[in-house]
Amino acid sequence: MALQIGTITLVFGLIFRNPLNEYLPFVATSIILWSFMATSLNEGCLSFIVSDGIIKQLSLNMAVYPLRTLWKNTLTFGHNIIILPIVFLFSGKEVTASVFLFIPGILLLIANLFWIMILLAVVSARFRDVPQVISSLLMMLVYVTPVFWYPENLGNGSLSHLLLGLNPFYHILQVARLPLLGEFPTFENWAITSSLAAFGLVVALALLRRVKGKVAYWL
Amino acid sequence: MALEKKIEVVLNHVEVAIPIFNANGRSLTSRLLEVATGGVLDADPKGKVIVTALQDVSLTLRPGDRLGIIGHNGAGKSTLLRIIGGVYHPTSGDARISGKVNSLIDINLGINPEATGLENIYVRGALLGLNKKQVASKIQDITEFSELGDFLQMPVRTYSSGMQLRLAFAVSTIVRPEILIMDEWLSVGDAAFQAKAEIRLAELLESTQILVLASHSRKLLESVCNRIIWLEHGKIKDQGPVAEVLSRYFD
Repeated sequence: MALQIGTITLVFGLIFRNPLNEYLPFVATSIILWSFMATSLNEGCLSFIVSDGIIKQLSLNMAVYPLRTLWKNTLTFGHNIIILPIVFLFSGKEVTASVFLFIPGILLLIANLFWIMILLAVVSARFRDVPQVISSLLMMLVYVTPVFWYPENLGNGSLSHLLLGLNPFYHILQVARLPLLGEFPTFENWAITSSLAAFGLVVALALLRRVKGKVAYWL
Repeated sequence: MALEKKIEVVLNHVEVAIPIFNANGRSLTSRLLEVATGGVLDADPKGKVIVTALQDVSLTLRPGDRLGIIGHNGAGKSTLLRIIGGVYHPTSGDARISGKVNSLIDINLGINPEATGLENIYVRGALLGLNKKQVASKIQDITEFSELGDFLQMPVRTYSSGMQLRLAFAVSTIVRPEILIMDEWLSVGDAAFQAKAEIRLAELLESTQILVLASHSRKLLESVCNRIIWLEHGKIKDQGPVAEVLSRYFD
């Protein structure tokens, strides 16, 4: 992870002529958060498939399986985030009071991951090519979402507003990333992420209740 | 005294139709292709075969019932066990299972070979519905019973298959369910352990209210069960007292 951050900082920093002491903390935060999101979603697809033995023998709440994947990835994320203080120290970046907003930010991010993972797990149990589709979508998303590049660099055209505004992953990333970088997410970021989480969880849990008796047949 | 919880299994005209998907039926892309091309391009786009594993099965089990299930391979025994275990939901008819169910179909369930024996006890315990404290209080018992001692600190992949079975058996049998599901009798380990395991299983049967056992062994069914159902092609072909049904089935 640290190696990846170093390489990307160097290459993209040079390409975009970004001052490294500012770009490094940005990239480090972004990559750590993004890889948490991407691996959770990729592995989320397999939540039911890898636990088929248990599903076919025990009748547990189906939410346990995506939750298990999510928890595992949250722990990994907890280990990766240790890189950040070192990066901040190294590049002389200061931590401001906005860092406290990271807590609601990351909770919203996790809530959003959870409902998407439930949907993906259900669809993947039925259609086995979904995990591959998702992994290529995520590859594409990493370029569309400002992970390696500053959102400001897109300019102020209406097309760029559309590209960012309609990308839920942009807002989800912002609410967790900006507080760490000493900035404040916009009201739009908070509103979209929290309503998405609320709406998504309702839909996902309703779906889970509907397919509860079916998943075992699909595995 | 609090009202006693009713323990029973009621199956009412249960039917299980399992959809079997081939590679095409499991593919979202070919499903989308089918929509886009109006289904002309793909020869068998749905790739779906429905197997009716159980049909019109009705039965009621009350405390004290020891049900044996017989039938040829593929007759629907395991499917019926899964219905009673709450894993499969009937595609038509209904199944009402009230009571704490534990299934000893695959006692190796959830064993992670990389984790130590002790860690596996906690994972398996959690799957059995115990919390950490409850598992911790059983550790002593499990250690003694499985005779694994310090091996519990080692990863399970280093165990011999006999040791693995002893661990799985010791953990699986710590809970006392109200409804117990078994697929064939469990036989584990060497002669000395086998004897111990038999005693533990007998205790388990004693304390459980309803037993459902699928088996091919006449001797076993005769000694354990007090009711038999005979499944054939997913339907109940015959049911009744042990001696009668078994003699019709085996003779």
